[in-house]
Amino acid sequence: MFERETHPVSLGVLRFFVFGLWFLKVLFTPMGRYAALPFELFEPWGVFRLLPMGFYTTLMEPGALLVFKVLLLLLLGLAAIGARPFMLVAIPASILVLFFDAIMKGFNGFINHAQFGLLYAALLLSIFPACADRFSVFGPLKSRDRPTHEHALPYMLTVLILCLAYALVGGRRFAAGGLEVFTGEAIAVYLAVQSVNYSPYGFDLGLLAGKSIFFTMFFQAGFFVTTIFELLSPLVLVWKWFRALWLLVIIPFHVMTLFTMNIFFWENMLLSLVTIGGVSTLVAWQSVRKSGRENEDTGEE
Amino acid sequence: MNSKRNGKMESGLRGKAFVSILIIWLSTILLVFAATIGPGFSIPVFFEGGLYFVVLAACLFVPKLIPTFLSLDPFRKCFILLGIMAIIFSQLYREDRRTYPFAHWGMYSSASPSQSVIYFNAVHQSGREQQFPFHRISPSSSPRAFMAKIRNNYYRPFLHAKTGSDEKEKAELELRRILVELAGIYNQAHPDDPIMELSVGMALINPHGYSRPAELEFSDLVVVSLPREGGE
Repeated sequence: MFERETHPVSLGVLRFFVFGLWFLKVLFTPMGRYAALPFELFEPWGVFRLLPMGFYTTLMEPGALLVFKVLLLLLLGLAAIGARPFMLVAIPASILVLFFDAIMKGFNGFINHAQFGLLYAALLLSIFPACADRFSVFGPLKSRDRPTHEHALPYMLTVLILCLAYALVGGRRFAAGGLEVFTGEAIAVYLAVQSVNYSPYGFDLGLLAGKSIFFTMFFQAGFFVTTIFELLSPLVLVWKWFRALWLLVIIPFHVMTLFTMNIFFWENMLLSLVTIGGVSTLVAWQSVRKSGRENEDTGEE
Repeated sequence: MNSKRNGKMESGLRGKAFVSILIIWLSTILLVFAATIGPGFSIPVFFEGGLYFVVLAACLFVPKLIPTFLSLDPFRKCFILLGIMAIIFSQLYREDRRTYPFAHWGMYSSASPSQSVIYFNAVHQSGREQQFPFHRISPSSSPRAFMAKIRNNYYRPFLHAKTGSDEKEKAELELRRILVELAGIYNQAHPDDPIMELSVGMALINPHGYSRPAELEFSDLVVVSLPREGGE
């Protein structure tokens, strides 16, 4: 399982992926546009309400936003490439990422969940210096090799947090909607409304659900099976065979929601593929094989 | 002998961890109870909380997770435990406005969802019509969520105000002002084909009968016209 599979390189790949993806997200976010929006639209959420509004009025100036963006990119870039001491770079990077997310969500009418998995992963990885031991541009850390579990724990906790988020969705659906949410009209209404609702994607395949009883039943069954798998998500940490099954359900589900509801949780999908899908483990194996071959060539043990 | 001793140690740790999880879970439930001051704490919430306890307890069976976790220093242990508590608290408390950066994950869980859609329609100078492209003016994490801000803060107050009241008139003025402002921001960035008219209205969707936007029948429609550049 993960504790045996997690090579220091896999954790390095996960760190590179999480901070690298945030780097790209920040890079391609035209933050200057916030300065053009009416400030009355900005309402901080949760703990960010504790800061005085004067702080935000200053931050929403084009110059301040640019400085914020450059600083955030610098820290994220360093964290992604595995700069050491890691915590010194990664903790400020993840705190600023939290601010970045808070600014974006401050203009929203509801809290969208798309970035939460990646946000929690950044916050979690930032407190584990082992994340930068390997897969770092500064080379592998040889002076003080850590026990294997120090690399496995942040990896397992990232998977746990990701799975917990899925389990919460499944839990709420069963608790609030019961079985009626799967057997009634709910899914047809959700799909139709989200096909008409504004979205930059503009897909309307969700309208199919209301067109024939066959499609309605197909979507109802898919909704039920997906919810069961969401609820059972933490089992990926316990049973290896369940991981493959989970991916077989959850990845197509994310793709389907794009075409039927114009909702695309691509961050979660990629994070699932890197961790549960074993992409990071594959990279680790490749790297171990390559370094083994190099050692053979140079005659080193 | 060694494996027996390891097994005993592991089951001892598992027992301690189970008690810790129970304490953490009960404290979270008590916090939710205190925050909702009793009446808001319904049986489904308790049932839901029970489900999450099972999910947390399942962590006991993740090989090596608990002993490795317990070997962490107190700061990191607290950070992680508080994080997990906050995630579950926010889920049961359902007040994202107060709990962010933690939120409740309750999407698509109602058995009788609303069939209404609020539609922002933009007519361009070229005659092209489209839903107002919120993603072109805001780099929000979710353009839909940004649209929801305009809907919640400006359209809903107009919708819910009593017809003919001063409140309605005021809400309509505010709505018109923000629509003009949003269209203006778009037009400044896209002078080649500016928006000449922006409207917002509510429509009900029948999932079995709807095919295309032209079929939508709007109620409570508000239309604003934008002045042409150069002023004709």
